[in-house]
Amino acid sequence: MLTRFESLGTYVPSTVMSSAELVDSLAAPRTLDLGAITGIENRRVYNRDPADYESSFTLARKAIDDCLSRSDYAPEDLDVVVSASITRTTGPGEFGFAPSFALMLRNAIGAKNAIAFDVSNACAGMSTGVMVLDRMIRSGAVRNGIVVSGEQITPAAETAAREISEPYDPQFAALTVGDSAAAVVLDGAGDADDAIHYIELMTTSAAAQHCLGMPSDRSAGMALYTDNRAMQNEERFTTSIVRLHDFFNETGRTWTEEEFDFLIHHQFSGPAIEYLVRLTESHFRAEVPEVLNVLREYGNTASTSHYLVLREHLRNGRIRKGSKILVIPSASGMVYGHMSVTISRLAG
Amino acid sequence: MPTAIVAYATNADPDTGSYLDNAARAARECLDTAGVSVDAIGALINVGIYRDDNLVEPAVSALLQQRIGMGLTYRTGAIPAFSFDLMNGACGLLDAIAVAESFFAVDSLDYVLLTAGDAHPSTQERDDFPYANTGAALLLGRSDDVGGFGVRQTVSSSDALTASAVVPLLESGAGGRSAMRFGAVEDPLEHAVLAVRRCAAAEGLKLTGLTVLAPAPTPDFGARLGRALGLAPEAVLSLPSELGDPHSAAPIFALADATVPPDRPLVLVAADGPVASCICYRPSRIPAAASTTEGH
Repeated sequence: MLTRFESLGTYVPSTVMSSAELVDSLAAPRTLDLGAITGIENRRVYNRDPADYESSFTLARKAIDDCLSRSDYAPEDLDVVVSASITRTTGPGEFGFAPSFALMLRNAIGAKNAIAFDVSNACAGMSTGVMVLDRMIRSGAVRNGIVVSGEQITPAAETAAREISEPYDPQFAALTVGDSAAAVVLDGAGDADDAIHYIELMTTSAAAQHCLGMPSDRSAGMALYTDNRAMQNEERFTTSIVRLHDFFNETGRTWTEEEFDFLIHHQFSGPAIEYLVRLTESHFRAEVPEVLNVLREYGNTASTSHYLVLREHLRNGRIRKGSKILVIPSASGMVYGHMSVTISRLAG
Repeated sequence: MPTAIVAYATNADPDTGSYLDNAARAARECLDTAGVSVDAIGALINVGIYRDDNLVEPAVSALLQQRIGMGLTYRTGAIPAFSFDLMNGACGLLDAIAVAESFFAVDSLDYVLLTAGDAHPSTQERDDFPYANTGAALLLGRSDDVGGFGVRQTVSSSDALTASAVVPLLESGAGGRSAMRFGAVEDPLEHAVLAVRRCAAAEGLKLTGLTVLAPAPTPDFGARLGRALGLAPEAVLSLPSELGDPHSAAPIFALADATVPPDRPLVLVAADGPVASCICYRPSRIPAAASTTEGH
């Protein structure tokens, strides 16, 4: 049995904040061309108006509505609801740990027959949810399900703007994040032209402590502390490529024969993605297909990033019916992986 | 081949209030008991909810993976290790068992390690924390010598829900790493009763043939569950009251505390406010002629 993406939905807040505006908001003034360093010019930020406040929950709900508006499934047809966000805010400064976000979302949309649980795996959260749901469908445990992530993550950038004080500050990476939500329905109706061919994830834990998200101990709010030099280096990037190559060898595949049309990396840094692409070309001694990004306009939208790329490039027509895409997750932990998908119904 | 409980371990060492400490110690003891190398584990699923410093990234599972030396790096030929957090209050462990079964069915994994337990984010003993500071681990593998697990049954409220455990970031100021506010939750008894009834029906078993391992969201929960199901008191094994509520680790503590005949199906129950789950486990292989439902 092959699974497929039956429908995809996203939501981004309407408020745009530029990198220059964000740098201008730093409490300790800095001369910093954030756009040039990260490739990120803009990001969307949540609506702060109490009457229309955009929490993680609100964002997730809007992505589900967008997703189900293109689905053949009604909420009550869903067997599983998986929520996969890092952030689980329900209101200003309210970060929930129970009950599961998935159950709250399930009840809000009336998916009364679905089991519901959260997965949490940093920026690989949605990939983890998709992998888990793929296995649940292929094992016959369920028929279908929805994976959703609402990321109200720019409060971590607000904390960084208040607190950054060092030239190499652990909160620098928090300036790259953007708010977004994505939802995807999977079912078992895949075929060669419309399928998740494979999805595999791996965690190498030696560097697990190099990116920590937790409340700040200096002011009120969530903070992200990243040691970029320890996390984003050639050794780490190569791990992901070596595992992909081993997976090809183990399953009788080759880079060339896979004939990918597009490559989607996690949207964490423009220069880092370019470096990863060069390492991949060098490793496989072959050209890398066109790389699709959205980070220039949306920044690093955490666990939703690959799905926002998919949706935006479906919308602009770059991804067409039959496009075969290699999706490469990368996350704190460190989590690596690969998903091969041929898009058909989503482009229909 | 059925999924087997290979080993389990619990930890409530008084020298630490850290979930990472308790869960890593339990995981190491669990693997030692099983005689299974950490390099043989294909996946680690952590289901603990309340953790040190209210950490939200990376997955706590990755930090536990690091502490037990699992998949620190990858090299060609090694079993790729994968880990993530699965969070569903006290019911997450049973969800994780169901997910592990799907992994076993699709992937070539030999072992899945589950970690569970909770700690106040301050890692201190706190009167306002409704749960015990503990860690626990459950190692799942595959074996033809057991009957394995049945289908996990879940019953939950369909009412609109609000968050009942919240980090109030704004009012906590610089103290958010040790803040957690708990609100009232509904009594999960009715959901648990229905889940156990569905479980028995799905497994083709009479309620009177079951041994129920009850959690302890309240000290009297096991007794109330037994009465509501019409079970003899000895058929419901409750957690020792001095332990408090081990919350996400309750089914493992219940297993560790129970003395049960190996030929009797066990029902592991979890219950937490708006949701309750249970799953049947047969420690012994079911003779084909006596089985009324399909094993897997």
